[in-house]
Amino acid sequence: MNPLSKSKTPSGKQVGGDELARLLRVGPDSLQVSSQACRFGLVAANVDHPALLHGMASREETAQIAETWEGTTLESHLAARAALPADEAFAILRQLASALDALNDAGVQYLCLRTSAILLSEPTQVRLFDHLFDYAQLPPEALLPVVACLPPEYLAGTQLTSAVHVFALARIAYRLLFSQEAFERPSLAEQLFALSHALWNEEPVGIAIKPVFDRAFSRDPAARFRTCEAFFSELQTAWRAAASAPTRLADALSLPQSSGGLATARARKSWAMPLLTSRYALRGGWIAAALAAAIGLGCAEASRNLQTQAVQDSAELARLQKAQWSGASATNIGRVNGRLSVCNASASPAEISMFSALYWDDAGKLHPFNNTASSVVWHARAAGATPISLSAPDGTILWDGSTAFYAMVVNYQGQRFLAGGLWNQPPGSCVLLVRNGNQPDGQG
Amino acid sequence: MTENHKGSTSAVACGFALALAVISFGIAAFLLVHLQSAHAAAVTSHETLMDYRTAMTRSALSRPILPENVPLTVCNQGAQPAELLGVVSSFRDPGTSAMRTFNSSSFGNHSWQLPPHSRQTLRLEQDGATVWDGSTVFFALELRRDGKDSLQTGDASRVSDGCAAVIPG
Repeated sequence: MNPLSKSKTPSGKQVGGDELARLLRVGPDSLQVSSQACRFGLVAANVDHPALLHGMASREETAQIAETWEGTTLESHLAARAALPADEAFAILRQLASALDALNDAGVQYLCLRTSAILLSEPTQVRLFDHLFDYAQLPPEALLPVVACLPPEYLAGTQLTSAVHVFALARIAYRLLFSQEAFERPSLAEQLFALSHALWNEEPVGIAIKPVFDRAFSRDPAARFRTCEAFFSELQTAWRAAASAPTRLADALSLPQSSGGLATARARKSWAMPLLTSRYALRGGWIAAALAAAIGLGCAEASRNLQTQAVQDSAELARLQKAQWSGASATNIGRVNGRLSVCNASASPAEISMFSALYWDDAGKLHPFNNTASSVVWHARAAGATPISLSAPDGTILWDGSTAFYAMVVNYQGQRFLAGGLWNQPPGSCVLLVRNGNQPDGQG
Repeated sequence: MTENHKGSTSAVACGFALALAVISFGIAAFLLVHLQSAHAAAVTSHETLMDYRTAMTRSALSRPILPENVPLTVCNQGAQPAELLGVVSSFRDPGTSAMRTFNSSSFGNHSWQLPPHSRQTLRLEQDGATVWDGSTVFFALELRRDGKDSLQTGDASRVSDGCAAVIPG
């Protein structure tokens, strides 16, 4: 006897007639269960199980009241609540599994387990209440009102086994855990087709739980779980595994919402969040540090490249500046004027008796200069440099020494030689007329 | 794990992460400033070099173009013979295009006789080898005429009637 039951009607009372009808509220098409029902003595089968609240076939006139019991149907319970917590759902399923296995042990095949035939009391006590469990003994036309909850083997006309209970329990489990029907379709015909081919709605079911429902909803009764307890155990294990081992943060946080706000998942979230926050904050710190380090390394490398480039540019500038007035600037030879001086490295003076030069004017035209007319003679001092230019007696510069090409006749120690060539050297450079060893040179 | 422990763990982790991020970004900011300085220096240096190159290029483009080599043909238009005591010629090397200078005094006392009203393309061969083929861009001629010596210069741009150098009558 259920200790939680409340006795409003004395146990053992024989009831019948209007009183039985009031207690059972049997309607013309389906069973309407009132909030108050009675536990009767077993009529259809000799099964005694705390979760079974037996009624009688409506054609029976009387029943032996075993206990009175109050509760609401699971159907109205679900209608009043948006979702059922997983703990509560599994508590209901556990009792249903046990009751269905008890029916199975008694050889009764309860074809039509439905939420309107399940009574609930607080806290989560379950009673199966139906006026007739042995639907398989009824003619098919009598099952039309409940055809949508029949298993595929019944629709196929094959032999019924205890596997119908697993199928029925799986449908209730699906309804409780995912807040929708496993074979819900827009029309009855489509729903029957889906039932016949075990086309259950897989969308809301996670990958860890799907194999359990695949097996429970199998078209082949032999492929289903052997007992409802086995199905329940497998489902609970899969559910816990899916909930406790999320592969992503989103899985862990979205699981309660997707499964109807499960209390256990909410609790898990409540203690997991600080750790997740700290873990992700730390990870964010490392990422920020790595980012900053990457920026720093990039900056250092870029700075080094820029410094190298600056040094190379400076060196190139110095080289160009040096080359501008050096022999290395070969392209300038003959194209620019130099300023001519002569050097005499020997101890004896040298005399330039004749001199002629070509120089560029500002317009880029060549002009000759010749000292023949002026009869000017330049004396290259011993061990010294002598700039070559020509000024008038009044100081006017007739030729400032600009030279692109020159030729001169040099007299040195009684010898006479011709010197000449191109000249583009800056002031300070000179044509070496005589080397230190008294050898005439005449080259720049 | 207690709530306090969890909270303190979270706070320490967040603080460490924040400190790590702040220090890292501080270093990165310092390096960024250094990079900016290096970049400014590099830009200045590069602009200076580019300016100098630009100036050199403009200067090079504004410089006169040297005339091509011409054979140094000397025309004596006078009624008196002349003697060419020496020749200095700067010419473009056909192989390298670099300017080279030939000075006849470097090859002994070689002279050329220029009869009246004659023209002669100068060249110098020694021991069967051509020392100078007569090419010239700039030249200087040391002349002796009527017992007087003179020095005359010219260039390839003044070739007239096939004569690079003319000894007037």
